[in-house]
Amino acid sequence: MTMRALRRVFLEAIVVVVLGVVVGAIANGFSPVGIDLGREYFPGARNSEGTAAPERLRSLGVGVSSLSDAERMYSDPRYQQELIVFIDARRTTRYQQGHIPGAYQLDHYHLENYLEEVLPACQSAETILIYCKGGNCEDSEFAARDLIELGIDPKKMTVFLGGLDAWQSAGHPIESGDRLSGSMLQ
Amino acid sequence: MRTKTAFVSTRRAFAVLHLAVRLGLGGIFVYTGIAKVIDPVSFLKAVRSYELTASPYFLNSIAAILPWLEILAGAFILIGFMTRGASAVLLSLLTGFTAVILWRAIGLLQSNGDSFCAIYFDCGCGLGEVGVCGKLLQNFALCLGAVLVLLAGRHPMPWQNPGA
Repeated sequence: MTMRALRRVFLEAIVVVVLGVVVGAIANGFSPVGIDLGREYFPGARNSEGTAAPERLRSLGVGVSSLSDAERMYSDPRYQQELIVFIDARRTTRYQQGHIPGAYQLDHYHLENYLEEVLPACQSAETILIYCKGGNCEDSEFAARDLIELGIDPKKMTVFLGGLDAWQSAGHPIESGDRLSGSMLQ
Repeated sequence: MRTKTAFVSTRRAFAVLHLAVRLGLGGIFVYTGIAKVIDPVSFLKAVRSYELTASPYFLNSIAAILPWLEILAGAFILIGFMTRGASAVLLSLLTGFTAVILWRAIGLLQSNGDSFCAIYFDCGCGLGEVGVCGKLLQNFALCLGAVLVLLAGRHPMPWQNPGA
């Protein structure tokens, strides 16, 4: 390739990159699922030593729940009265595919879409159990941090680290679609 | 006469190969770019897992803008516009992607102790969880394709006069 051709390739590449950045910035700004460039989406995220989630949650004043804790809360009459509230911290597609019956959805990455419904329920609840998929999913921790920032008392919050995977593996009810849709998968 | 015919056949064969590589390379990047644009949060999480930066602004910008750069460069290669520049951009991206995938795989190997090719993770490539060996081979093939398009440029179509 000659120097002239190389220069042309370089200039074309610059044009492609500049156009890509401009188009990307504009498209992201208009996209309903766009990313807020200035937002910290991973607050208090695990450090290089890998501090475990239970320690991080307890340092915030948030409890940690096991599967039996979640089962007990689900069976408690106060769950029907919404004095105990479950929060599903996963994205809409996952939530719609299946969630613990009666759980509210709170997507940490698009918080503003859920606050109108979730915040009053959390404010009036005595206990809030938050879950996501389970395993190394951090979204339940992020949702807990969001609620703390919104003024919810961390002492009434607890995170079910086993998540929906543990709930489903135990053969417990799973509801698909919207909250209280009545459409049960198992 | 036979030499000229053989030359024309070779040129046509190369034109077919070049077109196939262009369509494949451009198509793959348009497809994977769209997959990331539709679900930017998954891509954001995948980029974060590489621990490239502590800056939320830089991390978010990569996740928001990079997929569109892939789509644009892929589309340019598909339609034959600024083909060499677009392939240079994709080649640069592929080199970077391959390096970070390899780096992460080595890190997982050191922490898990599994064999290298048994490592699976979401590389942020728009294809979900992939095996690292298959992914590295795929990237190598894409790099070769990008180099071919970079060197050959737009090249005449197989049905055009090979002397054009």
